[in-house]
Amino acid sequence: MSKKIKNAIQDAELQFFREADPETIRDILKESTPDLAEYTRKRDEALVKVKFLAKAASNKQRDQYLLDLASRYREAIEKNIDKPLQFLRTLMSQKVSAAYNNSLDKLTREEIIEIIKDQNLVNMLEQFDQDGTNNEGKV
Amino acid sequence: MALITKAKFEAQKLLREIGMEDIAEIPMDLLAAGLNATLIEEPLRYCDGRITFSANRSLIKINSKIEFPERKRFISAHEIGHHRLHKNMDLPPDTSLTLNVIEGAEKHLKTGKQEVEANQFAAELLMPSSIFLRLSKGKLFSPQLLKDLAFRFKTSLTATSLKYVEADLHPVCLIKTENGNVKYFKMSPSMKCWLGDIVRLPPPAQSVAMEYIQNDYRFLYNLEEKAQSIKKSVWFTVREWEEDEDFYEYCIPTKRYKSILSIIWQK
Repeated sequence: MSKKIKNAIQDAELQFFREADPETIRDILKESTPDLAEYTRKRDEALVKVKFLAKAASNKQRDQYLLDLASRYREAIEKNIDKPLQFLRTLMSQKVSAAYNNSLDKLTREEIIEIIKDQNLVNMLEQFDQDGTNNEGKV
Repeated sequence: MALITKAKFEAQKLLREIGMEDIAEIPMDLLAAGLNATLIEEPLRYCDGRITFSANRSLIKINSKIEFPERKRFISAHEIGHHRLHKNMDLPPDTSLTLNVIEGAEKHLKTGKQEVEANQFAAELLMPSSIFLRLSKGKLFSPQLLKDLAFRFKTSLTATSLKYVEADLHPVCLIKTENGNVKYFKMSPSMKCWLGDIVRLPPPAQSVAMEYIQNDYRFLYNLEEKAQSIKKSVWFTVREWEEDEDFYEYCIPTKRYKSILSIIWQK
């Protein structure tokens, strides 16, 4: 069969499904799908997956933009690194998981500074996020 | 029947939420982004991965120097586990009242419960039990089976072997040796052997693991030869009335970490 004829058949099928009423489509599906419940489950699952991946891709793009933006604010990222222990103390008094590490007693000054920088960065990303929500188009 | 842990349940719940049976084909940074966590790779001097939280966000950093992508995936899944299970977790009241807050938090975290949970979460997220069992049940145990499963789920042989042992699909014992000493071991519940005190000690002189240590973690055997015949008594206690049976020891050495994973099973 030529490609042209194949395409014509596909177009006709597509046209039919576009114009057919939902009841007819359900009947056709019932005939051609042995387990309609399983088909529906898989279809719904696929829809959830597509939605999630679309959201993930969009978030990833936005995150990259925010990270690029944050990298311009070196001073803000390095805030409080001169008093690492004091900062860590404040951090840990709020939520134990603010900076997740199970060997706090073994942290060196450099490691604490790395955590502080991460904490500043994530706070900044959140701030950008909020600004973007409140002032559409700004971020 | 083994009880399902909270972490395992949460991983299964997440898979349902995102409409996926498993995530082998999904890059971890994309998965994290979909869960409102930003995952980036950069050289980390002191750890393999780290997570930092703000009120509504999480920042996950994975050490870009990690050589194996499968290990990176596991660490990413581990941090996502913290993101899902331990975000905004309050300190126990006694700890938050402690004057020395860091010491209190340290005491709380030292229980290691959160780390165990994050590992359980990661294992289930990367290797969902339903699919893992479907692919491995009824199949004859061999190192190749573990390799096939690891390839399918994009996980390390260590993580896959641990999952296999936990599922108790065949009597198998895993022994991890690091820097010349046994670090930990894990045995299938159906493996009826007595291991004795081996942790923090060098592996037995007759073991294949010791052979690898003596040869500076170089690969010594190829293909079928990799599963070396040993006697049960090399690793396990054999009582007077017991026969010293034939076992196999299959080693996976990693020179960089000076580690060896011994997979041991009965012939």
